[in-house]
Amino acid sequence: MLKWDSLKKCKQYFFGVPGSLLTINMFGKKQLKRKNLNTYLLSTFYNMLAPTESEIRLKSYACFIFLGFYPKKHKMADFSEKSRGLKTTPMAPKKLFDLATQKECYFVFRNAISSYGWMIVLIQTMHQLVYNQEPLRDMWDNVHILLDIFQTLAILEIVHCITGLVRSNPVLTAFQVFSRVFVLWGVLHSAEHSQQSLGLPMLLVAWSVTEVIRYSYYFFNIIDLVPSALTFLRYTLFIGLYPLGVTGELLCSYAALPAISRSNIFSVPLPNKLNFAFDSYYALIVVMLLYIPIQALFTNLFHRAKVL
Amino acid sequence: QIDQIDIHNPKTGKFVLSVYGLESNATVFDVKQAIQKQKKNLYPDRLEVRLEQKGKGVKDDDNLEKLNLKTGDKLYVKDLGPQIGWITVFLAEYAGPLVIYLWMYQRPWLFYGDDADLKPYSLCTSIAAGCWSVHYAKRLLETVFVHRFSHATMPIFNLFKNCSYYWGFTAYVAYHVNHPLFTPPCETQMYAALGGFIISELGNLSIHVALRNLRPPGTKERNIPFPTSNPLTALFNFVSCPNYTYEFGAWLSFTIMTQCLPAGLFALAGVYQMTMWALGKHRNYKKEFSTYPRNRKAIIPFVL
Repeated sequence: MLKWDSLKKCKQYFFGVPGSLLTINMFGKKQLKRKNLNTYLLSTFYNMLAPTESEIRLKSYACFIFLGFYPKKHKMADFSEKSRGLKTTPMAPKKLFDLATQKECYFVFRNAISSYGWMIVLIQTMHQLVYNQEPLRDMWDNVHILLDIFQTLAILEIVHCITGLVRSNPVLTAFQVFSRVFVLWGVLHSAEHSQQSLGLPMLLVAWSVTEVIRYSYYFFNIIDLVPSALTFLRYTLFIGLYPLGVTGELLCSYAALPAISRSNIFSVPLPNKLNFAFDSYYALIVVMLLYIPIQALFTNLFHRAKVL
Repeated sequence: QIDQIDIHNPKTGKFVLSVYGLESNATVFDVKQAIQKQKKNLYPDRLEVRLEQKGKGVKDDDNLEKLNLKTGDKLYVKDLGPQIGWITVFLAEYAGPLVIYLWMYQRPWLFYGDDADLKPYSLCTSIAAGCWSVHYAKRLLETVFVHRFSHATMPIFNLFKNCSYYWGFTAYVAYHVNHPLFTPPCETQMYAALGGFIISELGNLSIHVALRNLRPPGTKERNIPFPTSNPLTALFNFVSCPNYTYEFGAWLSFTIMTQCLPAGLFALAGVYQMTMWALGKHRNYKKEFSTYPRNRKAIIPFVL
């Protein structure tokens, strides 16, 4: 996957900022007179990064590490020593502030952060399962803060779909995100029993593994560097993780039923002006019964829509 | 005489079978019947014939020669899946609400606990039950006596989808309106809304009858609808689908009459679906008839 050509190039990649300073020195004062300083600095940096076309991908990864973003689709102007005297205006800096590039910068960060967050949730879950004598008792306390943050952050995905930032079906993503958010806030937060049920670690493993793979896939996709192992994992692991997740969610919901019937959280009793009644206990039972059929129905409809 | 037509699967593009010995005045329907002779489970209603792999389906009574088909040409035939008659689906999906609402009007112990039926019924609850039953009885009678259908069948999956929608919402609304703790609105509101409901139902019926008379029996002819001597059909001057407008009016009246949020949600869901259908029909009317009146809207006069 990553090919290291020579030691010289390794040094170039790992000493980015000082390296660019060095190259400025190397080029000397004559260059500075001819070009504007900003474009000159950027051009030397790009020169360091992409001396040949075949290494553009590798340099882009390095660019991300040092600068925190990767401007993907630009055609980097050739500032190699051969063409020094001939180039007029650099294309690269103009495209740096292009909307598509900004979008990619945002997504690179957003996907990286989510990926890290879910990785930590996974590590915490594994740690509890391996090193704790009574993992079910302490699982929620250790995991819930980050779980809350990163699962709620997933709501952003619906916003992205609606605003057109991501080309995906908003109804489908809304459905998936809300089902997760419902399990987290509606079921897990309202009943202590569900926080200590066997379903919680099952659910955590399923969600965190899926999310780590998914967000890191998106991250690598933007910088055009997806490891084939990751693609394979993404489309294979879900076969086992999906049932694991559904089972975990159903177990947690089942464990939450007694507490919900006692506390009647979110319930709206009759009589009232709008003649509307809502009983959380029965609503949860209905949701549990319809869980699997509705998932099947939605994926079926989605595939039909795609084919038709 | 068309000696041979090759049939291909539009999903894969691959050859399936050949149809032989078609007469010169054969229609697409004859091709479908010939396919059924070779594969017994593929009855004509289940098939959609296309000239191109991703093209639109051609009509059953289209003449093969008019479509420029000769010996050795290929047709794409798509299997639409198991089909069920429209009338069957309509009867099932409308009989359910009638039965379920009237059952829940009895306040069964399953939903309300014991002795719930001994508690007093408000006048509003009884009127609502009457309105609901009249609405669905009317729909059942229209399905049998009034409507003329363009298609004979629909995919069998639609039966489950439609029945779940109607029966589910009926149970949801009926639970709230028939509940012992149901609070009716003031009498003025109730009677005014009841008046609105009756007018909307009569309007809906008039439109269905007018549409029936637009199409001669046994044909699949399509014509532009215009108002008749019935004053309720005057809505045709303003909208393409006044039957949906009246239906919206009926459910809005029902909601106001019972002042019940679940009924409002049911009305909203119905209105959303009917708006989609009305927009589609309006577009088809405008495409099909060059003389279609320009000032008509789809479902709400002057607005949509």
